[in-house]
Amino acid sequence: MSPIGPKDLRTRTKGQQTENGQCVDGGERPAASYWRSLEDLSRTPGNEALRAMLADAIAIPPDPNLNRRRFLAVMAASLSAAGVGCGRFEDRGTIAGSAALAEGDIPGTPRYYASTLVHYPGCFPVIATVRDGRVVKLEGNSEHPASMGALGAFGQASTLDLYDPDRLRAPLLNGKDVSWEEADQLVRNHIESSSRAGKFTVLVTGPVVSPTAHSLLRLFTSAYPKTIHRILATLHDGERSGGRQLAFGTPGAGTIRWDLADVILSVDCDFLGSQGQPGDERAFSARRRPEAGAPVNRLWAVEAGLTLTGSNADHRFPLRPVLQPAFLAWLLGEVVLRRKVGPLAADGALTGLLRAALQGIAPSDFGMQPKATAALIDDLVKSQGRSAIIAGPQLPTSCHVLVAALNVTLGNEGTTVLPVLTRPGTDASTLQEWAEAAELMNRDRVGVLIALDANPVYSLPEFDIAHGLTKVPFVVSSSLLRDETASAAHLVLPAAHDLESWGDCDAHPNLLSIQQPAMRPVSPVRQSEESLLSWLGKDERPTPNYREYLKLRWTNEVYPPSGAAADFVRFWEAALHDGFVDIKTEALPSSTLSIPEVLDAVGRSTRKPDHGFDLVLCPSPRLHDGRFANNGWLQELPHPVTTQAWGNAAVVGPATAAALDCREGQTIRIKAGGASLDLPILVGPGVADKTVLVDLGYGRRAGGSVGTHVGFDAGRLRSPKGGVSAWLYTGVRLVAVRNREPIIRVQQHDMAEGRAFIKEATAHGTLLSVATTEHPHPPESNWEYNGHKWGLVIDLSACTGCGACTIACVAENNIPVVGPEQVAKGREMHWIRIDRYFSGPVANPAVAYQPMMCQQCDCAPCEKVCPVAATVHSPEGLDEMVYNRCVGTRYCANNCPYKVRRFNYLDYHQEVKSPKELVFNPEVTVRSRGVMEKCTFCVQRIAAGKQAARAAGRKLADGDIRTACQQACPTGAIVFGDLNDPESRVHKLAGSERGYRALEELGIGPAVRYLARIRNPHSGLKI
Amino acid sequence: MNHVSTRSEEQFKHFDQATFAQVDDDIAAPMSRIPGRNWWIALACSGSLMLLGMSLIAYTVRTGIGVWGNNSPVFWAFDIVNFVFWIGIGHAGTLISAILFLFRQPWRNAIARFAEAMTIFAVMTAAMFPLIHMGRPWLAHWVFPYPNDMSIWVNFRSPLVWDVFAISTYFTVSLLFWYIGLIPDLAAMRERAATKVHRVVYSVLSWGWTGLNRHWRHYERAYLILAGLSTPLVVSVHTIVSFDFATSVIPGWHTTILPPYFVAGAVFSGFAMVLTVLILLRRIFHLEHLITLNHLDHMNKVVLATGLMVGYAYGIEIFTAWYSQEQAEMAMIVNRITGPYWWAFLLMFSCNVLVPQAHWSRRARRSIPIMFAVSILVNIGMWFERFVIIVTSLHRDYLPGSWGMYMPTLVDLGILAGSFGMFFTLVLLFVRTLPVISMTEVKATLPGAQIGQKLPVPARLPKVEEVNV
Repeated sequence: MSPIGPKDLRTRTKGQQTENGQCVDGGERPAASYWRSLEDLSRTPGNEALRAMLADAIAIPPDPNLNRRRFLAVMAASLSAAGVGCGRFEDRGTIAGSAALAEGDIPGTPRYYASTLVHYPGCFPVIATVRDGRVVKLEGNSEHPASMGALGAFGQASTLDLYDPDRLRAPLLNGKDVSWEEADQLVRNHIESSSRAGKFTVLVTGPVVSPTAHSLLRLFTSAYPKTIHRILATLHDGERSGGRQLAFGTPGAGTIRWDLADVILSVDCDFLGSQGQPGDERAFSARRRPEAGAPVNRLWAVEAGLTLTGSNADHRFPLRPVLQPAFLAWLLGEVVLRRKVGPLAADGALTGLLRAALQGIAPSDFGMQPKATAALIDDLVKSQGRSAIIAGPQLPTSCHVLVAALNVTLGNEGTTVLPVLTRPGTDASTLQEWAEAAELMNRDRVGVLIALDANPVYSLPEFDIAHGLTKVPFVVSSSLLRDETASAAHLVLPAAHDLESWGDCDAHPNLLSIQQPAMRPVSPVRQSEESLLSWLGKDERPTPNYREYLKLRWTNEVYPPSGAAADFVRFWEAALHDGFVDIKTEALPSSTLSIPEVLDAVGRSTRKPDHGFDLVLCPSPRLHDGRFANNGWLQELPHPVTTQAWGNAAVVGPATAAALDCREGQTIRIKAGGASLDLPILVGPGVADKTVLVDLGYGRRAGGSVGTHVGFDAGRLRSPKGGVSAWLYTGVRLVAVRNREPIIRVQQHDMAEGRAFIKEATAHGTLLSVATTEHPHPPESNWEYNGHKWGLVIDLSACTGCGACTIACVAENNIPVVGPEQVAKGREMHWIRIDRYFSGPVANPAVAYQPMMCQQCDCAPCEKVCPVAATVHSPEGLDEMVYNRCVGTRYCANNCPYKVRRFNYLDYHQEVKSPKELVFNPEVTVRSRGVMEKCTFCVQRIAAGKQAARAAGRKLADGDIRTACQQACPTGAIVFGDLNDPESRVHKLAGSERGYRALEELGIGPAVRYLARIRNPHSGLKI
Repeated sequence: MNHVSTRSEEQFKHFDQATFAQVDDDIAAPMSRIPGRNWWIALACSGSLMLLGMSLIAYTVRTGIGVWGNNSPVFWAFDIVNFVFWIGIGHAGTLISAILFLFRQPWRNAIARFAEAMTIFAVMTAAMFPLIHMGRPWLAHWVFPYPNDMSIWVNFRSPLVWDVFAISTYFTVSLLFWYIGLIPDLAAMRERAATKVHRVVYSVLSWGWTGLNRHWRHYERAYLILAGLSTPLVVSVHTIVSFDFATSVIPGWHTTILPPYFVAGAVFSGFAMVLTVLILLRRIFHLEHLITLNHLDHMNKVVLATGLMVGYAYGIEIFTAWYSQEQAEMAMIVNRITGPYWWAFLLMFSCNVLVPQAHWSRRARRSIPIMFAVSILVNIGMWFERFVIIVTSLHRDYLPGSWGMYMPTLVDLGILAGSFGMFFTLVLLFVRTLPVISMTEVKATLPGAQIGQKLPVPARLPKVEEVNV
């Protein structure tokens, strides 16, 4: 066989060329009897019939008129015709799973979706990072004006809820699988038959922050008129808004303009902690930096327990809660009567009555020095119109009337304190309303009870809903987990997580945030609103699904008043992209203060305390009201002040503990009204005398595999009528019981021992801290950093100690949950810990917080001692940890002076149940047992940032790379960047006169700079 | 036997009742008879402990270091305490067999063999701990610098790598030294062997020793060289072990006095351990005439001397901390003495400093019950010394926010017990298979063994073949 030369090829090719689309037979053909196609076969002799048939089928008749122009015109027309039938591909209404790639998707490349967490206290606007169809990380939406990118621990931890293996996966009727259609039919039938029987349908939801959900609820209640809607919130603002309602006669709440307030008095309101809104911390702490230009604000705190707010205050006074109303009344008296400030001072009748009511009350009644109270009043009076007074939501209505009166007197109302209208549906039902509902249940007057994302059995122990439910013929629960209410329900529906749901949220004034699903649910769950919609009759249903309903309401009610120039589709898409739209919240006109109400409040506030102790039921900074009990990240997050993890305790002050003759861990019995609870004691410095504080949200009886029976259910101490308020009881008795229960505290030593690793300064520029050591080692580093040199600056003045960074780091870096036993042994794995130190008198200590993570030393003690070189120095100044080289000698951790290295003592990921593995960040190794790990400065983010810059062909800019802790920090206290770049923020901040490095004297060259904390004490007082 | 050329009348008192044949008979006796009940009981006890320890080690390797009490900040605890303790125990053997040999101290001859064996067993026990303390012990070979595809080398800056070299060298040299010393005795055992198996084993082990002049010459040269090699190891091994701590930045570890302090402590605890075991051994095997009160008296003097050195080191540590006026250093010392582990410090201080003071009295030094009690207490004290150094330094270092407490688990205690089980099992097997006292060296110190010696009248003249062996 002769080789085929180029000439042969040419000949053959030529032979098959076409002209005018017709096949022309010519040229050579292989002689073999093999054929390659029907055309080929048809050309062989004897196959003429086939040839004719094929010619009919495939030959296009030549069109003599077809030229280039006409061809292009026809093509253009047919292409446009093809497009006519297509919808917009961006919004098909369904979500593709990870197997189906959207156009332009590259596997492994993250996409980002804006959404809103509405079932999280405070409502968080978020950006979800979605990788291969799965949410792997949440961050605050930095464009959202209310949060500015902040996302607290709750929001950060919500991805774990999403993949909770305990989540319900299918509708269950009496424990057996049932289809959604059957379930819906059953609910409709039961509601109708119960209505016919004259019985009520009780619908229990949480506060309805979504205006669309609220309109749907109205639709539902009008379709089924025998519906009673009850709003369940263990913690709510009812007393506060009730107080304003009394004082001004208009409904609504007050919000504080933190940016304008120079002097703030918080009477037991933990606005920096568990009682704050996202954004409060950022706005407050923006006024704590002297470099920012505005004068540093001054925070006075009067509080029962030691909270984040109190520990960040410039002056703090412990005061038992039952005396707090009297303190407010006395303060009003001092300002109005002595200082003759404000419009009330001119009212002769009022001043007379006020004077009589306040007869005989002195600062010493509150355990305060006259000098201190004088300074406080002085401060408030001098900053009229620039101060703000806020009281805790657990305090009774009368306190909030007095706060309103004080804010009016000091000229703050309308300047630093703004009234905001609250929409119906957001206020929780009162105890009275619940009592009525419980009564109806007990009298067999309720035919159906539907709990939508609410857990009344756990949250309302005082009404014994569990017993009431036994009398209800049909109980429906739509929830994420099989909680206490779901356990008592006949029909259990798996609810969708916030990140799998549609919705909107108007919790932030002048903003309407949108909620969109960021991923397809792992199992066929359905959001509760969708269920509500399906339970309407076919004719009453305005749209087939809730997403359409949302769009419908937006089309009719949001889009027109917005005055947007774009059409609705663009408006809608922009809203989905941004996560929110601007709306006009109805402004409340300033109203006049009701003098009789003020006098009444003064009268009710000056009562003498009873005997016994005061009991405060607090929202848990980790579990809130218990809804996060099954979230291991939050259970393991130490309480910011007590550092307790995995549980709660009865927190009492040292004097109370001494009076009870109890040590930490000793069990005491709290007797409030008819209820009693045994739980261990935790001695908390700074807690007011005669006060006991217990966090709510623990002691779940059906809280999932993680959260069940962790801690003690303080809600059982509540009484149906409430005490001073639903969270505040007085005349409580404490009895020491013999048992002991271990208290798991992450930090075991509270005092800084006078060492110099935390520095403080006053706003006037004096450095308060102890001097550095007298014998510093010279810094010794063999490294030269020619490219980047990564560094971190942590502003201790902005850091409130909340712990959001810890959870963000856990989410980003696949840090395992180790469980209570391991935490008790001191083996928690957090890469960032928040060290909390007390100084000064134990009755009212000063508190300092210090986030502590790997300091990426230039001359790192850990690197020197590793025998196998598993931890090595990078050319950019990182102490890199090579997991697969580590043999686990733990020498590096011993030699780390900051003790920030973490060792996998056991295989902590062994018990990851599906689908929990989906929560792992694919960019970060999941470490096995026997290896060391530590903060990497989010090296995966550094790499991603550099790659993105290189791909875009530009230089890496300052701010391109943000560590997870930096991103999550609600106050922006953490700044990451290139210390070698003189224009970078981190470089500039590092050179601040407040800057220092912890343990610098060891000569190890840490790359983390701390900025000294600023305290702003009143000039007349010591700290 | 020219290496014991200087002698005085007094030294014959050690063996004044013995003849060459008696020496052989007495020393070989435990090997030639079926072990008695006591030996079996002892072996059962120590063997069970060893098995317990081994099972717990297997459990640890399978489950993770988490079954121990170690945590953050106390990343090292019983694991390294035991390691340092056992390495220290070994040092007495080398000191006795090498240094005292070079210094021509003939009283060492009766105890050197046993002390050397103890060194080997102690180093074996000790070496187990760095291996099992690793999070991933199956990768332990990574700490050796061996050529590999990935061109990954060990980190020569790490004291743990120095440890690897120090300990492997120590073990090799000690083993060789011990074995060379054994060869003439093994030949003697070969001659005495009752069964064929014994004969074959001892033949192989004795490398064809026939007692030729050339053999003796080579033997003595090799023994001297190995003694010379071993001598610096006595100082260097524990010095390097102390570098694990001394080169770190942790208060309580970062101390220049640690190397001499560790060496003195090692000799101290090693002598105490040799004493503990020898007192039992001489009683059980009736070797009182070979290991005499004079030997024990000498050893007690060493215990007293090294105890004083250790006490001095404790004092100097406290002084240095105060003299530095470094906050962390001073806090470390205060915490050590008055902190939550005050009892460990007290135990250490009393056992190591106060108890040995009894040996100023000659009566105490020659009283078996007293010296036995002292030796046991010193061992306890020295174990706690390592506990104090490691745990109390780590549990509270620079940042109080990271401070914590350490509590051992049952597994920790079980492995500690297992290490004693392993050690004593090896000792018990040794006393039944090899001569616990060097026949050669003991006979060399007998009257008439050396040329030109003035002979006291022996009770029985030695036979020629016995002298030669």
